[in-house]
Amino acid sequence: MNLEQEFVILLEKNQNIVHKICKIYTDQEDVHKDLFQEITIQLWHSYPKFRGEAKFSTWAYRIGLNTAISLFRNKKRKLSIIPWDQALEKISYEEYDPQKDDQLHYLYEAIQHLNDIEKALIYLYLEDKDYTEIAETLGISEVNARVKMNRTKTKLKEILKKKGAL
Amino acid sequence: MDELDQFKKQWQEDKNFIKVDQSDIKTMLHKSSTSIVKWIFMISLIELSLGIILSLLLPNSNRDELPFFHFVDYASELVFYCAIAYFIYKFFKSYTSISSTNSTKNLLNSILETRKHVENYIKFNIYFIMYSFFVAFLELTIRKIDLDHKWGSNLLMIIAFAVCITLVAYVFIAIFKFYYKIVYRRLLRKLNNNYEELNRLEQE
Repeated sequence: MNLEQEFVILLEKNQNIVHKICKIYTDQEDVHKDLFQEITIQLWHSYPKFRGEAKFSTWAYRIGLNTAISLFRNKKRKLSIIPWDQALEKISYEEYDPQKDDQLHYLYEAIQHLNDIEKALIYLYLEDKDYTEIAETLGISEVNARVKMNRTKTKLKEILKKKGAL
Repeated sequence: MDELDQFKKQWQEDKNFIKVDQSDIKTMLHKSSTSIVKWIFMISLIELSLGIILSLLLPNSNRDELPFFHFVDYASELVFYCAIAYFIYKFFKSYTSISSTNSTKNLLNSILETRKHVENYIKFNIYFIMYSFFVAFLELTIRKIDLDHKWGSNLLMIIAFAVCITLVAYVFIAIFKFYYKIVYRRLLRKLNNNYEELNRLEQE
């Protein structure tokens, strides 16, 4: 199996990691697709370096978040975006329903109110990462990661309470 | 148990996403990146070459008459090209250290540092242009001062030159500031905000 095929299979299997990052960094479907593509390109560029060094997911978390926080350039202005027509999209994407689960929908909506760094913290928390990995991914100390995580969780809970989801 | 833990389970089980298949991924792999770093790199290359082009437009003095200025010109040119080489070296060194596998803070730091080298390079060019104008002004003044004339008219001439030089310097700086506002405000705002946020965390 060549390198490209190996990568494609791994990413296809682990694509939800990338989708979740896209979903917390944008609530626009076309931006979601652009960000997914940029993360894929970044993952592919560093794939030869990564190969077999760590778990695919661990490595994908870091590159995915880095792309969303630092590298991705959103070319679309929010106000100029035409609302995504789900009926049309269903032609190419089956069974996509963002409001299928109300509680999850509230969570994603609440996360949109956080800043980029807070989103990364919450993402890593929800993915059940320990503080050592969170601190290493963001490049801050473990103590600070803990302090900031507590504050961010409190902020998120307040938003969820306001929305009636908690 | 944390109130958010109830969401955690649902989050981890969430598979309600657009399904991307292998052929979609393959297509994506062959598309080119539109990352901020790529933009910064391209803009920086234009800026670096612009500095060199500008250096060719620097005012040239008449070297036949005043040997002192002849020496100053050569010394300045040497300093100028050494500085250009230094900035270009720093830029590429910093650029090659940008890697998406670094921690977020290191990545942001290396992108902003790469950008900073080009900014310093442009600043250096502006200062150098101002310095060149000043030397040209000095030489012109020394040559044009007519000792037979009254000091009043000489002084008037010096003030007129000084005002011209100040105006030119002011215009250059204004253009520089305007350019940075237009080109980089949107491009770097996100990076600066996120970098500041991470730094704030460390300082608390």
